[in-house]
Amino acid sequence: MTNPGQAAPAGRLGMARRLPRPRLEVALFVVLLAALAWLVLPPLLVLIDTSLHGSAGKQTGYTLDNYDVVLRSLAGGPELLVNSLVFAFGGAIVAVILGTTMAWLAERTNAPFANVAYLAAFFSFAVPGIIKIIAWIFLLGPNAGFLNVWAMKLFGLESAPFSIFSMGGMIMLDGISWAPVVFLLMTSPFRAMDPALEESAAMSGASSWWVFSRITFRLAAPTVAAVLLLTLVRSLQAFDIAALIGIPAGVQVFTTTIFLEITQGFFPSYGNAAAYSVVLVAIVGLALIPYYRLSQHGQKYATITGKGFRPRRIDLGRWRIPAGAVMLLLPSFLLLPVLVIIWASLLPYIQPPSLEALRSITLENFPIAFSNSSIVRSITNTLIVSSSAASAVVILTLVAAWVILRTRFRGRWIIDLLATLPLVFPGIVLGLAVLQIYLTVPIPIYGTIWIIAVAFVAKFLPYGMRYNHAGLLSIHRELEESAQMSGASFLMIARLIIAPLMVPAIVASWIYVFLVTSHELSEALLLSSPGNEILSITIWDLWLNGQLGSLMAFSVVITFALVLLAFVLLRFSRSQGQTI
Amino acid sequence: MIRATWRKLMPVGIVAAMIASACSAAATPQPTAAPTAASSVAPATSAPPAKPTNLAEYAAYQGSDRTAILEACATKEGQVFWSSELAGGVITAMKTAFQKKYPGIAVSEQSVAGSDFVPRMVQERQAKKYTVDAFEMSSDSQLLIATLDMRQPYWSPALANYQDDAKEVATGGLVYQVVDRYSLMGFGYNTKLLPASAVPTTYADLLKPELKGKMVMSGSGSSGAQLFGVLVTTQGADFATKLKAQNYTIQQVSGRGLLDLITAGEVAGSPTIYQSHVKTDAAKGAPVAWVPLSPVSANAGGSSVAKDAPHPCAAVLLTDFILGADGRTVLDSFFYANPGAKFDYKLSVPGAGMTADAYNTKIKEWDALMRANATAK
Repeated sequence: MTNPGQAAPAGRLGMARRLPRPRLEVALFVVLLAALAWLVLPPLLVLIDTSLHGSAGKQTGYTLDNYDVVLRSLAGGPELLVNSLVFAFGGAIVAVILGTTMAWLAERTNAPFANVAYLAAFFSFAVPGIIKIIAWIFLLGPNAGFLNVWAMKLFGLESAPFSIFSMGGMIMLDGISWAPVVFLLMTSPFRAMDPALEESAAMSGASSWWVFSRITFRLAAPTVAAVLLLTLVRSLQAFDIAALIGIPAGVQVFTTTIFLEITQGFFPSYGNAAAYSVVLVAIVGLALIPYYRLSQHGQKYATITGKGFRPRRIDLGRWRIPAGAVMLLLPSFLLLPVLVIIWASLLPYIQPPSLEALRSITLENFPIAFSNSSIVRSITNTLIVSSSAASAVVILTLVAAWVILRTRFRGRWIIDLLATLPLVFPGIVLGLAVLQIYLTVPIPIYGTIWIIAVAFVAKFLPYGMRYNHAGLLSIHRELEESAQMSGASFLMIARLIIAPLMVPAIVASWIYVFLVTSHELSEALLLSSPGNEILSITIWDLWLNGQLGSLMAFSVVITFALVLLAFVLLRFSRSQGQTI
Repeated sequence: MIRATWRKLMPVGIVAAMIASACSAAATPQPTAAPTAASSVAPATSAPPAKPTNLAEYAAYQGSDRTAILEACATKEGQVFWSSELAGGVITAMKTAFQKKYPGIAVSEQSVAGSDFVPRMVQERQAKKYTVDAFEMSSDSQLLIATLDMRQPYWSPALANYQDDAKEVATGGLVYQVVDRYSLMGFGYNTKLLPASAVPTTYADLLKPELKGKMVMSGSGSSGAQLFGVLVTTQGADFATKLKAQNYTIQQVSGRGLLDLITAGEVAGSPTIYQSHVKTDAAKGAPVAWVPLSPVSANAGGSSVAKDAPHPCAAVLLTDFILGADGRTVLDSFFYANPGAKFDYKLSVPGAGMTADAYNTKIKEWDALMRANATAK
């Protein structure tokens, strides 16, 4: 939720109160409210409604049978709840420790390879997560994982030192998949931190560690806590790692339970799946409460002032080389899976690197992959779905941010609430809810790419709000007031003042939503049907159906295409003065 | 008022609709027996219409110009959507062969587990949104599909090539499905990881100490559940508990996907592997082999035309192609067993002799049994 405490005042002259409210403003508010309500509320209501009906559907009337199943499952053993929480907390802690350490090293020390880490963090958005997970299976599988086999040979071990198919493997993968996000989120606070306190301590003879632990870390603690909570929420909602690693490891969490309720047997148990979903939504909602509280009271910890300063970089001395090794972790986590998929794409069947395998290298997987119409279709579908979803999210959240910050409607908090509510929906839950809605309402998008686009728009509203709310907040409203006093119409103000100044935020939010939706799996999984597959669904299907050669060839092409696209978008966003 | 509106907006329960569908199907009954129990196809009782104009007529047309009429009409339609439980390269190969013969018709293919396909078809029919033209599904999926009135009865010039027990007969000399291949599930293993002495030859051998910690079951689709069905039926209800001591795990992939992990050396062996996939990979030099465990669970893949197929001519033409010599050549090249072949072991066709409801209940039970006894790490 955007912070009401941060909302700009109505203007020094209180002009907004004196000027008549334009009809267009009212129309915008009403249309926006209706659009957001339609995107966000029906999934929640449908989910609750479905969870309250038995296996024979509505003909049985309302019942708590599905919740009884959930309660009995939880009472039968604590595994489901414990697994979900251990996985989520573990992944979040690993991500935060890794991402925050690297952000601190990059921004506040003279550790080498900072730029490489930045690029790796950004490009990690471009490589689909499901491809990375599959590659890690080939790297750290307990019996034939390339890294395990090498380690066993090198150290004379009898068994693999680490198995990816374990709770530890799930936590490690979740942690390293979210570390780039944490890294990017934490660099700004470290970069903008006033070094006066640290410098005073250093001048008083404090060691670097003392300064870091007693001053730097404490100043950053609220941000770290907020990022930790956000990462925790994402980990609770994680599906791909839970499915591809958790199920073989025998570690079931809420998201995989929901998935299996729908896919086990021939007739889905939607009621049970919905009841599990409601419980998961409640857990996620609980985790978000402290996050909002921290966000709302963030100004207490403000270290950015109007005073000009240049943060001092700590000289790491002999620790510079180990710090450089830490900075190379992110690039390694990105590069290793990419190398594996390139290797696997060139083989008739998967083999560990060897001279014998080198002799069997072939390019035959590539033409086979691209003769598969699902693969070709999924590329076009993804481009349409992701660009449409990104555009819709940007437009809706830009208008929402404007209504929240620039108008005096009493109900504008509802806009804020609606645009932020989807954070509580795990992707698979939102997919289930959207599926059920569009099967019955007379809006003919079921089975088309547009049902996936609608789910993406709903899911990514909060992320669009983060960019556009912050962007509009940074533009003082006196510019608009001056134009208004000079007789400019609302549309002129929007076109000539707001839009140009908001370009960086718009570009950044569009790129973010585009890149993330281009390989989002969990929302789309239940919404996909013949003809509307997107990249992530095609990759999932190829993995499930054992078309490994085609999968790897397709993944190589997609990875390079997305990285190239990300590079172009990065250059463009930097030309607009914006970081993503 | 608002409450009433919301009630209208609330989706009708899928399961309720399934029951309704089943009820309506009961009004126009279709045979639900597995194709192995079907009787022979009766000769056509009346002359086909001179000029077919809709799906039912195209599907039933038996004139000598059938292929020419279908090809001309299908070329105008320009495309066909085919869903199949076949996994691996065979789908693309079938598509490529069809498009080579009929270059004006683009095939969109989808490899999908029956447990995903059936509910999706139910949902689409509820919503009156029809995407699938033709499909090739295993016997257990066809068992459920039969109760849901999803198939268009058809005739094909290739019917004569199939034995009677491969056909699920409709009225008027037509069929609902023809079994075009058997996918035989047995024990697939990596020859570098398992010595000959460890390879099982019976289900009881799955308890061999050498296999402890080395077996993985396929958790996607119904292969794993089918295996546990056979185990419960042939070895007794407590066999799953005994198998638990073998510390097996589950991979959420199909049998075909699991074979990739066996080839890679990540998994030593699995009793949920299909013979055709192993033969295909072994032909490329992969260190894999397959042995039958009798009775072998045999997924009998049957070709059907979807009721309300959006591209009726192309749907029928594709089905003729799959059942004909061209389709047989593709299936043979991927080592799928011909349903007319003789086998050295007993076959167990999933769902045979069961009602759809009973089978759905059982498959969930067996799946739950497999997951409950799997090892957690």
